[in-house]
Amino acid sequence: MIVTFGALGVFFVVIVVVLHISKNRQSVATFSNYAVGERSFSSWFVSMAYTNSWWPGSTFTAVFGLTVASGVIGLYFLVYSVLGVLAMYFIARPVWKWGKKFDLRTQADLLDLRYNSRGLKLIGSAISVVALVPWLVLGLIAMGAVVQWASLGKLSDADSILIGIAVLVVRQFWTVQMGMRGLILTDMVQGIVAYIGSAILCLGLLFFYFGGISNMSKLTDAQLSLPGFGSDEGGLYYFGIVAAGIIGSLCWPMIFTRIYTAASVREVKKGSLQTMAIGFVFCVLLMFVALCAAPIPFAAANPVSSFFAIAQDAGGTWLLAIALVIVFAAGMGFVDGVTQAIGTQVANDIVAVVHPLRDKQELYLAKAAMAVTAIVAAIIAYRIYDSPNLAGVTQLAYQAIIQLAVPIFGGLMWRKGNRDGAIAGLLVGAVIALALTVPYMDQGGAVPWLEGLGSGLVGLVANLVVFVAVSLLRASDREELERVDQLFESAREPSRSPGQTTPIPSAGQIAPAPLP
Amino acid sequence: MKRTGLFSRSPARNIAFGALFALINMIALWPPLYIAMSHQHGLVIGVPISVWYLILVSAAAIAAVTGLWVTECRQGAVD
Repeated sequence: MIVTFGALGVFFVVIVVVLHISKNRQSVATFSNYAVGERSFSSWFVSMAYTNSWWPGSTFTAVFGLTVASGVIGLYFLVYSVLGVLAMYFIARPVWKWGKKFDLRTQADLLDLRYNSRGLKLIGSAISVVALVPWLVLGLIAMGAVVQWASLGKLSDADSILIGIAVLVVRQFWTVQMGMRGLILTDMVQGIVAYIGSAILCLGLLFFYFGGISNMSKLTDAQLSLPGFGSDEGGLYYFGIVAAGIIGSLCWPMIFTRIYTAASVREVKKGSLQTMAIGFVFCVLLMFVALCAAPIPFAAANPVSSFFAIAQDAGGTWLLAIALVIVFAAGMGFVDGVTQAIGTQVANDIVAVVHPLRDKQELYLAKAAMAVTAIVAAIIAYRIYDSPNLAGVTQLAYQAIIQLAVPIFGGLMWRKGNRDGAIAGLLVGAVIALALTVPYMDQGGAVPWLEGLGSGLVGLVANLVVFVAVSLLRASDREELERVDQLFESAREPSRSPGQTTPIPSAGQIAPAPLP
Repeated sequence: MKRTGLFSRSPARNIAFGALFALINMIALWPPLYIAMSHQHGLVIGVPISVWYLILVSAAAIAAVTGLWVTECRQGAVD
């Protein structure tokens, strides 16, 4: 216990020291700096922050466990994670340029600017915040698993959860204080430990513990195949989970905000490429270990904690301690990113829409929202940590969040898409997705009579149809079309020096549209 | 008002890479293809073909983006 808890304690202290060394009063002087870290980060910081937000601690438990138990289907995470980052590359130019020019901080700010609709901003943010809370709860619960393994089984589930939550709540003190800048800097340290450390550990396990990859030849046909038509899951199950992941990747606010933290369009695009490469190497090695672990009886008996069990079996307490630090680093970065995104959205996109706030007020409100959310999530985590239906709750959130893809990507690709179409589509899509998810919660929203297609994708199709139809039937007036034309044109201009701006009214200068 | 696209001024590059990314997504997501590929269990360098399929489709996306990045840099299209 001294070794495992000692390793976790040392890593925690390192992160706190990094935060203190990097503390910069200027970085939290304004809400914009607080929320997007002065738009100053290079591609490596952007990519590591994205990676930290994308691959949480539960990758080493839930995803690893899925692969151990079910085989290659677990690699769907690899496919959709890599393909999902493509979207960040393609939308880098308009999103970053509009962000810089109009001081956008969140994806809801982008919706407000593009559609000139504060109502849409409010709806989009509300969906985002509600969808994020279950992930925060899961992040806290995953941290409980780390604590329990660190105790070598001596602590009960409940005590482990409480201690894990307490550690992360203490960590939130610095997240709340330092905003995005502190988050990005610690993401770099946590990312190096979590993903590069994991890659090294996995290589070591493959070479010295498994003696190569020969265990893969012991996998059963069922473990090596994706579900086909007529199977229990359905032939469209794999399509549904991968497509939803690709489409939804940039709908998560903590992911989208990474674009605004970059220093330029170049850094966003380069960061996208680096993110794909880091995720690919990390995930392939982790999945190789999981596939090699699948035939081992003690791993198959308890897949969710098999990553820890294999590390302990291979190298005793010291290697277990390394594995715990890796998962701790990944989990801490994820919880930080989610908490920061919730605070920013509550202050910037919900309360400030209903009741305009001064910059300082927004800053304080964001901090308060983060603190309150962390406490509420901690209470929920403690109450439901042993619920059998946690995965269903997160799937419900996921089916809802991907509805934001239509107004976000539709607005970036189609000039005639307008406020009425976006709001109508979003509401119809979200209602259909939720209505179809509830009866099939246990299957994660996969609809059996649609061959396992996800309920969120069904809602997404309806969302898109309504978006196009309403935008055409209730077309924007000439003034609005010209405003959007100007926006599109401004995104194509080469970068200017500070102070030079295009004469387009900023989101803040545009007269607020009435709430629909 | 001149009507403009948002993403690039190079139609040839857009078409070429657009087709490439569409092809990669189709290979990844076309049900008859992924079901058929995942039922190939022969070993290549010790790794089952169904695993190779999922790895290579991801690697192809990275290779395509790298190609796009290099092309855009050469054309001075990244600022």
